Amino acid sequence: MKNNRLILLVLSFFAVFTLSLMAPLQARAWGRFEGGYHPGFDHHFHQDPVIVHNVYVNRGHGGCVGCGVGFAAVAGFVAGAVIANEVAHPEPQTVIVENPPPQTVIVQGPAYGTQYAMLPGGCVNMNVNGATYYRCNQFWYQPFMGGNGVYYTLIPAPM
Amino acid sequence: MKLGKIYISSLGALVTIAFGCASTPTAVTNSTGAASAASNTTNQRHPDIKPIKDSHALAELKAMSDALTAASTLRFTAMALKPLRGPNDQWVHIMTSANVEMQRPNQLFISTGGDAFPQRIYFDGKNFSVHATETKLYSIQPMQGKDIDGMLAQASKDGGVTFSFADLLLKDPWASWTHDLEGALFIGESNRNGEKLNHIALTASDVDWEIWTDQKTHLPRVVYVKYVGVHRTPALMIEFSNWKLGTKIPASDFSFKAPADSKRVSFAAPGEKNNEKQ
Repeated sequence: MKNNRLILLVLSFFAVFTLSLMAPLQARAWGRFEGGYHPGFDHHFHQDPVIVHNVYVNRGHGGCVGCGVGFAAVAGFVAGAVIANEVAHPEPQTVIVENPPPQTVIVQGPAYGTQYAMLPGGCVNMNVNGATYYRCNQFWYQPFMGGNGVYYTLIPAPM
Repeated sequence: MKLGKIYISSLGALVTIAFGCASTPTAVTNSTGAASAASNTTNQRHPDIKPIKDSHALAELKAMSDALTAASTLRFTAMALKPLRGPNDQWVHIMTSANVEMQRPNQLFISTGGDAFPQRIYFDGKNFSVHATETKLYSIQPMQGKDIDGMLAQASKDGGVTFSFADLLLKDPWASWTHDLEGALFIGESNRNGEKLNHIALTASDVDWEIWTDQKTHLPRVVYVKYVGVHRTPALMIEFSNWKLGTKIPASDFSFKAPADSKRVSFAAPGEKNNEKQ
């Protein structure tokens, strides 16, 4: 048993060490240095990420180039038009539709903590306890700076 | 003993995966994860690239590095075609612009525009400040004691901020460019609408890059980078103009004064939990 424990201990150490090797590699640039540029970094571009050269607006959400990068939720790195729809018209956080018993259907909306590269329309700037938020209908967003732009985190209503 | 065997097998698999990942020359994710778009990474360089290092090319690269580092101040404009991954995994490009002012060792101002998010970035040797002029939001990140190299690393780590032209701002670009250089070719003289340029081509394990430098000043005029280690080989092109070296830049250009109509927000890398400090 002692041998097994020793093996487990040693292997656990190596497992942790090995996992550390799997951490993301350092940023690379056309030169090499920490903090250098690498392709695909910018999620955020243009003051209105929906509009990429004004072309994609009239094409709907299908195949929208801008939707995949500038318009998508950042957290979880989900790209695509589906998310773009969620940004433009956020669904309620949780909608519970009760059908005749015993069936209950729960539809999940975007989760708190989801980050967006832009706000939906109709938002109002709010100051709560000295901090800046945006209230968009029943949803609250907290802005932050980073990643070459401003991002907005969906949060519960601040107290 | 069975347990031990299971662990050994698992460890073997883990090591294989880990070293497989670590040795892939193409994983360009950063600590923020913000570069996940570039994480499909399996293009391997063809092994038959000839390791030629032309002394003429290296001399031109060194001359460019020397021209940059000899100047106490730099001003230039960078117009870039930057690759972004579209929802169909195709690399598409946005056109960004940046006006840059730098004073060694620790002062920098950048104003971005074009398709880039419009913002003004200030580094005065004490704070790294970003002002989003249209949304009227700003952040201030203390970076006391850091030079520009240190600031670039910290801004990338803390906030996922990078600049495609950052190579030119380093205190020793030559060291950065050559430490894993695998090839350097002097392609020849290039005529760009009457302007005479030297054209050199360089390669490292996961990047091919070409530079066109002004024959008189040795300053870069065009850079074209192919990330050959990244799936579908995204490319970056930057055109540099309006070079001014050694001119006096007022200290006020580098220091940020928060406008009364702007609100302070936190500085964080997208994809990470916002630290909620304001």
